[in-house]
Order: sequence, then C-alpha cells, then structure tokens
Amino acid sequence: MNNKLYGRIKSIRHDYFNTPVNAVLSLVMIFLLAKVAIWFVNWAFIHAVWTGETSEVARPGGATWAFIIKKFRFFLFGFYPKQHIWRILVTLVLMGASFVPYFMKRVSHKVLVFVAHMVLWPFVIGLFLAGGLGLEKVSTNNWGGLTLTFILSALGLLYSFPIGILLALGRRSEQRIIRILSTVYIEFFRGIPLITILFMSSVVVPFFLPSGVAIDKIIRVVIGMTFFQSAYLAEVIRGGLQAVPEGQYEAADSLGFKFGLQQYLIIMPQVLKITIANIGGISISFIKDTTLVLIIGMFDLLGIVKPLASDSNWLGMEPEGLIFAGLVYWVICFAISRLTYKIEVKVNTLPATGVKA
Amino acid sequence: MNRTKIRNLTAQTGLILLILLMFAYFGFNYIRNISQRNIEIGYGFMDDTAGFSISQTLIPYTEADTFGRTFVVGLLNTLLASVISIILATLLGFVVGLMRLSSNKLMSQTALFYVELLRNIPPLLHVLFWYQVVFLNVLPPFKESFKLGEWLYINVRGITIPSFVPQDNSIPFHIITFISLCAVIYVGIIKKQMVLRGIHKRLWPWQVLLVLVPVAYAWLFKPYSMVLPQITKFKFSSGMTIRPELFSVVVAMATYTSTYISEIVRSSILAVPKGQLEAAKSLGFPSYRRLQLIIIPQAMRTMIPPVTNQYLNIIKNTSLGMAVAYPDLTAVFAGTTLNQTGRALEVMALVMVTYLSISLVTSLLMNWYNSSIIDRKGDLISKEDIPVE
Repeated sequence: MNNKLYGRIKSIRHDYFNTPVNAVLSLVMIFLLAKVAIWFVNWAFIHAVWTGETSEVARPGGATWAFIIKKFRFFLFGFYPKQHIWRILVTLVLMGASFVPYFMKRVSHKVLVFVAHMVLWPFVIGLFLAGGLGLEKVSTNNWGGLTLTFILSALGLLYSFPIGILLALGRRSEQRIIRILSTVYIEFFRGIPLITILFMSSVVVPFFLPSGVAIDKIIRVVIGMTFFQSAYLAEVIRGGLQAVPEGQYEAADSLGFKFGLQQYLIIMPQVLKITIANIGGISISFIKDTTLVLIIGMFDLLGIVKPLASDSNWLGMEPEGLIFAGLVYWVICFAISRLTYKIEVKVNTLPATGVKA
Repeated sequence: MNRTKIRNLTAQTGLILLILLMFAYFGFNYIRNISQRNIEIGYGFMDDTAGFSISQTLIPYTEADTFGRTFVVGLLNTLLASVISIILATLLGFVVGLMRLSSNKLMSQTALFYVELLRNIPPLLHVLFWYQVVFLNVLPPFKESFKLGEWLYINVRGITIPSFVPQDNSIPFHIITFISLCAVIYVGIIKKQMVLRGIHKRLWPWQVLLVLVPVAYAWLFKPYSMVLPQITKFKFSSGMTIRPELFSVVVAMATYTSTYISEIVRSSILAVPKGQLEAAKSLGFPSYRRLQLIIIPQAMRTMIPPVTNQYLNIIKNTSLGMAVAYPDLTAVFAGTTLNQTGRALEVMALVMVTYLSISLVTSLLMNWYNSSIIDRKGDLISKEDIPVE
C-alpha cells in the first residue's frame, strides 16, 4: 500500500514537478484550470435550471437547460409535423438496416451494396420524409434539426465517394484531356469556399433550368455539396493511389487484368486501407460543413437554434442552444474519429497481403 | 493507329462534346430565363450607385459609391480578417503544438484537451459562439462598458482603443522603424550563422539598441498623436473600435485553425530524427537554441505544405463571417450587391474567380518561401551555405 502511494507520488513528481520551471508552470496551470472548471460546473450544473415553461425561470450565472428539454423535439426533427415523426424514425431504421449486408460473409461484392444504397436511399428518404404514395406530403422547408444534418451528410458522402474515386483516377490518367479536366475540376472546387457553391445552388442554378422545371432546394444543396466534397475526396484517394507500390500494378498487368478489374480487385482495396484515416477526417469536416446551410436559410441542427430562441417564451436562449448544438457535433465528430482509428488498427492488423518490399 | 488509341480518342472527344453540350444547354436556359425578366447580361451594373451602407470599411465608402467599390470594400475586409487570423492561428498553433510536446504532463494534456475540444466543433459554430454568446450575452452594455483607464473600453458594440493620428513627421519615423527592423533581423541572421559556425558572441544588446532608436524617436518627436476614446451621447466620437463581427471571425478562425496547425507542428517536430536532437544536446546547445537552430528548421520542411493548406482554409472560411454580418467579400458582394442587382451569375462568377486568385497567390507565395529554404533535393539550403572547415 505504502509502496503504491510512494510510486504514485513519484510519478506525479516526475510528470508535473521535475524541474523548478515545470513546477511553477504546473501550479499556475492547476490554478487556472481549477478556476475555469469551478465556473463551468457552477454555470452548467449548480446554478442551472432544468424545468420551466418560459425564459423567466432563468437564473443569472446559470444555464437554462429547460429550454433544451422543452425544445428537444425541434433539435432532433426540426419543424417536422409531430404526428409524422414516426416516418423519420422509420427512415432512419431502414437506412441503418441497409448496412447489415456489409457485415454478411455471404455478400462477396460489397460494392453492389454501395450501389444499392445510392439507388435506394433517395427513394426511401423521398417516400417517407417528403411523402407520396398515400403518405401526406411534408414540405422540405419543414425538414430540420439533426435529421437534416444527417440527411445532408449521408447523401453527400454517399455520392461523393464514387465521383471522388473517378476524379482521382482521372487525374492520374494517361489520357491528357481527362487528366486536365479532372485537375481543373478538383482545383476549382478546392479553391472556392463552400458557401459560394451553396449560393450558386440556391440562387444561380434555378436560372440554368428550363422554365417550368424546378428542383427542390435540398436536392440542389446535396448536389452542390457532393461536387465540393468529391474534389477533396479525390485528393485523398489520389494520395492513396500514389502510395500503392508500382509492383502491384505490374503484377496485375502481368496477370492479364484489365484496367477496371485491376482497380477493383487489386488497387482500390489497398488504397482504401491506406487512406482510411484521411477518409475519416474528411467525413468529419464534411459533417461540420453541413452547418453552412444555415446561411442559405435551412434549419439544420445549428441553424435551428436561432428560430427556437426567437420564440417569445424563450427569448435570448442562444447561448444554451449553441452550446447544446456544439456538444452534439462534438460527440458525433469525436465518435467518428475514434471509429476510424479503431478501423485503422483493425485493418492494419490483418495478415499482410501482397509482396513484401 | 491501333484500336486502343482510337477508342481513347473517341472517348475523349465524346467527353468534351458532352461537357460542351451541357454548358450550351445551361447557357441557353440562362439567357432565355434572364431575357424573360428583362435583366441585362454583363458587368455594366458595376458603375451603378450602390445605395447601401457597409458597417466596416478600410477605404472611404459612402452610399453614393458604386457597386464596383463595394467589391473592393468586401475584398479588403476579407483580406483583413484573413491576414489577422493567419498570424494569430500560426502563433497559437505553434504555442499549442510545442505545449503538446512539453515534458510537463499537465501542459501537454491541456493542449490535447484544447485541440480535441475545438476541432470537433464546426467553424461556423465557433463564429456564432463568439458573437452570440461572448459579445451579446457576456459583455456589458454600452453604458456600463468595462474600462481600463482611459484607453480601453469593452462592451457589446466592440473593443474601443485609442486611435493614432499621423503627424507631419511620421514619414521619417516609418523609414527609421523599417530600417531598424531590417537591421534587427539582419543581426539575428548573423547571430544564427555565427552559432552554427561555433562562434558564441553576445549580439542581443545590439538588437535592443536598434529597437530603441525608433522608440526614442517616437518619444522625442511624437510622430503620432494618440486620440483617446471620447464618449459623446450614445457613441464614441473618437478612438478606434474593433467591431464584434471582425473580432468574432478572427478569434473563431484563429482558435479553430490553430488546432490543425498545432497538430502539424507537433507531427513535423516528431518527424525530425531523434539523432538530431541528441547530437544538438551533445554539442551543448541550450534547449531553446536546439529548438531554434536544429529542430524547427528541419521540421519546417515538412510543415510548410500542410500549413499552406490551412492558410487557404482560413481565407475561404472567413466567408463564414457572413453569418454574423461581417462585411467580407461574400457578405457584401455575393450577399447585398447580388440581392440589389439580381445579377446572380455575374456576381458569383466574380466572387469565385477572386477566391481562386487569392488561393493561387497564397500558394505561390508559400511555394516560393518553401523553395527558398529547401533546395531541389529537399535538403535545407542553410546547411550548404556553411563552409566546412
């Protein structure tokens, strides 16, 4: 017991007080951190208000979590009509269930599952969320909250993957025109802010369509974000392509694989394995980027804070709303970064394939 | 020609035709839609009177000025926010990155906490947080401004500091300051070369002396007169106010991007072979010289390309200031001017081209800097400058 305590003290001394400078630094840091932590605990828990109907219950120096609790439905589902929320849940369950084939050993060509997602998800979302076939129609203007964030991220990531892979291959193509076109596409979309693309899709694109034809705003936004995202994804995949040893290509060539099969069976699996960390990172930044739709007047998880805090019963509740939204984003992004790390470790512990260098 | 070649050629021609057809189709629709609404096509509107005001302008601007001028005002505001954010993000990123490598566990853990906390939150939320929460909810109203003597006022409307008005003798002051700064940097370079050659001589007193020259000049001849903030009725009649919009954008971008820069700094320093540090230790360099002369120059080589990307991200992300009405290029030109004129395509095309050019110039500058410290083989140039004795 004594030994353990002694060891603990020794390690603390080694980690925090090994030199006089470090000792002073540690003390100052402890003081500052304690101050911030005490203030935060006071604000978020001790002086916080958890129940109430209006902002009158707010106490100075404390958070009003009652606002979040009262408006929780809106944070999750936006202004979607209450009696139809089951449709959102069904959609989410169906989309979640569509991942099951990835884990089935019997399905050998997982890429077909991916193609099925690309074809089926818009139909599922369109049928259940937007309505039709006997279901009451719900305008996309009412979509919002975490649901909208989820839909934008899921669809954007889904479609930017194949485009990104094609662009990456195009940029390395031996055919000059394809190479130039891919390069121009990638550099163009990487050089402009996402917000200008969202403006284009919300303001300019309607002018490009023949009169009488209108595409729903949410579809235009998803297309714009896919264009943007695929350029970044292409660069990540290109990095992976460059990291695959030349010998792999030569081996595939000498075995008589045509370009498509060579990519599908030999190169891409290795590329995805190499780039998994970067793909995770780019997915996170994509989810963070979906918040920009608030600037063109859509109410995603971040965008819904303002209308909710403009409710005359809950005026001035932006801080709580923003902090809650931040917490949700943080949890999602942190979870994804942990997940990619886990996948990376798992993928790298597989038995090594291919020739050793 | 063999079959593959013919196939490739037809594929490429087909692709180009397809793209041209697509553009032609969209262009045709666009022209028809526009002419139905009786809007002219072209940039003629740039000379029309804008008729709206802008809250923060670096050049003189009134409502009577043209739309063309709103473009310049917006562009300058974008550049202002970008430059300040880049400087702050670099400084913060270096500090946090070095903190993460500190032998003091508390320091490295705090830095890790900072990085993990801030970078998993969307940048737009950062901007809104600083604006909505810090400025509008935490800071006191105008009448109860937080004061620091006569010099500094902090309230909901911004941070007001004294303004400095140049006097007649400000031009020689600028020249003297510039020369002395160059001299200080030059002495620093000499010192570095001397240390690398093993000559140890104290040069910092010279640097202090050089800095004192413009300070003494300022003290004696007063090239600038300081105007303290004065309150008349409901606003400041003098002094300089940093508006909450600018402050929010800059602080948000600096803190958010600093987490990425700190990771770059950390991994680049860790990528320097351990033997370098050990060699520096055994040669008896003190710890800050080890960092300054041996580690950082080598880390710089791996650092610059990813840091350039972060700088480009900052420039693009300052457009998020639109959410808090910071009058940058996107908000002023792609926002208000677009709404006033209805020339969606022209305005958006100009904005996109402008951002592309800024990105291009920035990457060219960084590439130039990169090639100035690295030769073609990827080695640091300064290594070869030193004659082997």
